[in-house]
Amino acid sequence: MTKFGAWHGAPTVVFNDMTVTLPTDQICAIMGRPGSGRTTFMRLLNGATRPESGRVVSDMRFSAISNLGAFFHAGLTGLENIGFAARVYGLNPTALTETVLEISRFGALWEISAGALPGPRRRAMEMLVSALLPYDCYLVDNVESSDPETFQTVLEILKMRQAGMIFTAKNPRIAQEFATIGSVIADRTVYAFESVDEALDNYG
Amino acid sequence: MATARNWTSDLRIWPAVSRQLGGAVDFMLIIRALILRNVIVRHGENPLGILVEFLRPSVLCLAHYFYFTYTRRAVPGHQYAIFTLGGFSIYFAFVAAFNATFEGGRWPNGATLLAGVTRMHLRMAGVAWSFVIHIIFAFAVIVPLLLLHQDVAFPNLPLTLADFAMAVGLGFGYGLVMSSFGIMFPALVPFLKVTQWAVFITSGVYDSLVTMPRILAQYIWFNPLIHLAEFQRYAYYPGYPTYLVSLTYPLLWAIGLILTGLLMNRALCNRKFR
Repeated sequence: MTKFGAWHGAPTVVFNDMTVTLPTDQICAIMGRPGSGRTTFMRLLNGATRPESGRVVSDMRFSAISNLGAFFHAGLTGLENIGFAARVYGLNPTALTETVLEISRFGALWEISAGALPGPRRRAMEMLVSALLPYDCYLVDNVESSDPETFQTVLEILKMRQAGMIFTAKNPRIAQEFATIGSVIADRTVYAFESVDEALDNYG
Repeated sequence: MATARNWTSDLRIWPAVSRQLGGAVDFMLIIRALILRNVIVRHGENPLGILVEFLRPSVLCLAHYFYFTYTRRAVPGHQYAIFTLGGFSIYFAFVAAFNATFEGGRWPNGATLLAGVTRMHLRMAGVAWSFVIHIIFAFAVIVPLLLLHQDVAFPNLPLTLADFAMAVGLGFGYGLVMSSFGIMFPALVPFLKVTQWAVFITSGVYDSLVTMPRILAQYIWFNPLIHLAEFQRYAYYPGYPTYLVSLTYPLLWAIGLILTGLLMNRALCNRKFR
């Protein structure tokens, strides 16, 4: 696929006629320098943006991208947003709310309007709710900005569900700690490797 | 990966129906969820709740009822209340569906970040809500009139449902076509919305085809909304004359506009994403 974009206001080619295959049932880290196109790649997977040429082929259902954009409506409380997400996928809102309250440590914050929550806290809550929705593969952008405790909980949930995750990381150490396979974005292309160590060797 | 999808099966409602009808159930669930979300956001904090939705049309209908009565407007059978309600309720349903389609996908407030929810779902939710709320209005507004001993009755249900379905269908199709033009020519967006005023003036809310000058009637007849307005008046009052109008004409318009709008929308969707 080929994708155009903009970096600091200047038009640029983000991906140039590249092809890559990624597994969606593992924890996959995508590493790249700032401006290399990590977020654009996540947006392409999720369908939030389309390539200029080529396409994304998958029969998997990707989650909303955690840490990028807010799927909680600012005018609703966290609990009301859980109810909305549950209804969208035909889940029982009460059961989903009980599950979220059981595994989260945010307590009364769920009853506050999402617009009034501090950004990092809202993102953590969204990530947790997202992990309970019936997706096949979860997308997390810029994993370093995630709340570590919530991220751990999400990984445990995904392990239990045998669901996969694709996350982007700037820090190779984080990729090594959590991912089972790795990819690197360089020279307007995504390179997939069989292991994180191999990806790190190629991540200059 | 089937395991990941089935993990929440114990939380799923209507699992059997969902398996049988698949996509149709998913579509209905999304529309229902979006409608409920909009209702909570707009009216959750308001002590009057969704009754607020009836306030504006009620006030406008009341003001026009007094205006028509005071000016002794030429109205078939001097049925001022029916004339006002029939015309305005149809126009309100049309314009609400138009606005929901024209503006509906513009501020998703995070909804479209959830997989499976698109801007078209947001529009459809707005249109479905317009249909429901205006049907309720068309019936509920009769209650105070009966209490005031007005000579009115509840409208014919099948005709009212058909009328309102066509009105929101027209609004949806017109909204799709106009929003597509908005994508093609962004500078025209403010003017495109104003076109609804031309539709309003010729929609038959102020005049009946039977009583307006013939030279005017032969042009205004082409607005499909006037056909629906006349039939809605007939639904309220079976003696109302409908020999100049037809239900087939607005139906063909609604189908034509929806198909054109959907095709334009599909052709332009790549441009929207960039």
